[in-house]
Amino acid sequence: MIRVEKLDKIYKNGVLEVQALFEINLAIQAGEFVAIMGPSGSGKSTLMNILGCLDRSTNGSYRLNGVEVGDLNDNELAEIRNKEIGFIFQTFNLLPRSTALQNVELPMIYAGVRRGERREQAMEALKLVGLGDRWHHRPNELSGGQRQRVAIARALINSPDIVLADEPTGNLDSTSGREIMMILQNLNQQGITVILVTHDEEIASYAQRIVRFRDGEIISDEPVAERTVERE
Amino acid sequence: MNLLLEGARMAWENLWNNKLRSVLTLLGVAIGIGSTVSLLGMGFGFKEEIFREFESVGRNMIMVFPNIFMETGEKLEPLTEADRRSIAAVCRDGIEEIVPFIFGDQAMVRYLKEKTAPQVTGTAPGFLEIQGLKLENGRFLTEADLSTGRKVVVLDWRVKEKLFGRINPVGKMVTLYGEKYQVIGVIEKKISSISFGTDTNGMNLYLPVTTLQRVMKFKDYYGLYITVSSLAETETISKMINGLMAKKYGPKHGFQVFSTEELLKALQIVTGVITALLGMIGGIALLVGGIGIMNIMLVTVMERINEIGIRKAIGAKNTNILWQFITEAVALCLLGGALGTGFGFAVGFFIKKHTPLRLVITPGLVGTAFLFATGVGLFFGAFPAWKAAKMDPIEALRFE
Repeated sequence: MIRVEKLDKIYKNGVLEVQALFEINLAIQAGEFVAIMGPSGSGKSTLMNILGCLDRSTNGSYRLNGVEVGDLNDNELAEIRNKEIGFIFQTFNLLPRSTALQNVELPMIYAGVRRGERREQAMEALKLVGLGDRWHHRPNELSGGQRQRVAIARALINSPDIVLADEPTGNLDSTSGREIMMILQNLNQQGITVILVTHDEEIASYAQRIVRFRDGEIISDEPVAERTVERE
Repeated sequence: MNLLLEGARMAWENLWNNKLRSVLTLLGVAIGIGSTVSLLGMGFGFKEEIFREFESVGRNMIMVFPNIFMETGEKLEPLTEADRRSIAAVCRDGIEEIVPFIFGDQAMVRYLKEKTAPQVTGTAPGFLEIQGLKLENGRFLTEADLSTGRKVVVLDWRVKEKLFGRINPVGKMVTLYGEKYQVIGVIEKKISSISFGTDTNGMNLYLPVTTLQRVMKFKDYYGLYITVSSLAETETISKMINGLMAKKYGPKHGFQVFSTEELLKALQIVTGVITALLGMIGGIALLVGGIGIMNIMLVTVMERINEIGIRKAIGAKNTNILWQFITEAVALCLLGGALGTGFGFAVGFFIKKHTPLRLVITPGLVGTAFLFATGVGLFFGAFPAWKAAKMDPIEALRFE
């Protein structure tokens, strides 16, 4: 599903060049649950952005479902972000002045789904994350855990193949964090590929496989020995 | 289409969320559009007024006046009876009527204890038609009045009101220049802002030109009104008269010969320039409003960098973002345009009610105003929207 070969990322800031990724090779199969770990500045977020088609690599190849992403234009990348990838962020990144329902609807607007259908599907998605009765609340009227669940509903609304979660529990208490991880595990069981970026060993143990980064390089890539499985 | 609609809805929501700011910004556009609409309307109104005036007078008229713009030292020549005869003889075929006139000295006219000081004009039959005036009562001067130098007067409605109030003055005797004159007719009220030789806002009194010549001890004329049988001939006849005058008094003769057609053409140019100037003033106001739109749109984009990042991350294309912000700018301008047009109508109504001026606001003008508002929104919204669309999604997401 995801195949990265000899991927470099170099940031240019005036005359200063910073290489964030050095010849990364990585393959992720459909249905995997992978955690990407490493200290800050190790390049894990940079890779995440490239995998999420928010950024482009400087050199090397990134094939997503057989398509060379480097050859795509901005509009085609936007379409992939819209339909094939769902993002979950540490800071939730909900539109502050829109209701939970409107936030969940947003990706469908860009996918061209009609209003009535949009409403229905968004409502359904909110019910699935347990917020059916909170659809009219704005983000500041919801708890952190609730906000992240709205974000998950939004990430899933266009039925993506891949969910990218960047420190999804970073701003949550441990109870809410466990709830979010449970949802991600459930999604993975339904066949969605989940890629999780974290620096928390405990959170990473929810995944099946851990890829460790340091200074822009992969230093280890191995299955999780004792996997945490959350039950309802 | 769906995306256009969504864009409009999102624009509306954002404008609604920033009510005060939106209202203040669109006020700028409203003032711009409002002043453009009312100023242009005023220009059109003025133009229309002039046309109407000319229609009531008829365009095939030539006026021969002493040149009041003469250089000092030149002698102001009166028009003689001989001049009138030679004009009548030379242009016999084309001319319908020649109406001479002179002005009398300022004098009091009295009836019983009432008195007033109108402008006294001595003239001939045909004057009424040339001036586009109508009788309210009685009759106007006739050839018989002129040939015998009868002591009769025609009053306009103001003089009549002042001297007689509600009484019918026809047949009554008034005192003027120390003599008794019989009132034979009353001229009805005419609403007009321009005229030829008579002051429509003042008071006027008319008597046979021969009678006034005797009183003033003056045997010539101040000027002539000449009606021509067809519009096509006015120019040739006007040239012939000019030639005649030049032959008698030299090429730098002190007369102005011009047709209403020429005057109309000149006035059309003048009113066109005035309208254009008025439009330009409105345009400047609109420009200021437009810059206000651009300013506020730049602020809006800066405030919503994070939102732009989120939208891009979940699949908004650059064109979606561009459209979203352009729609917002255009929506602001259209709301401003609607408000401004309302302003324009209000100003027009006020002006119509309280001044002799009239505002002509046509559907075309309103349509143009809205087109302009949209244009302003597109033009001044384009740069901020382009800035928003071009943002890098990651930088936008990270922006705090």
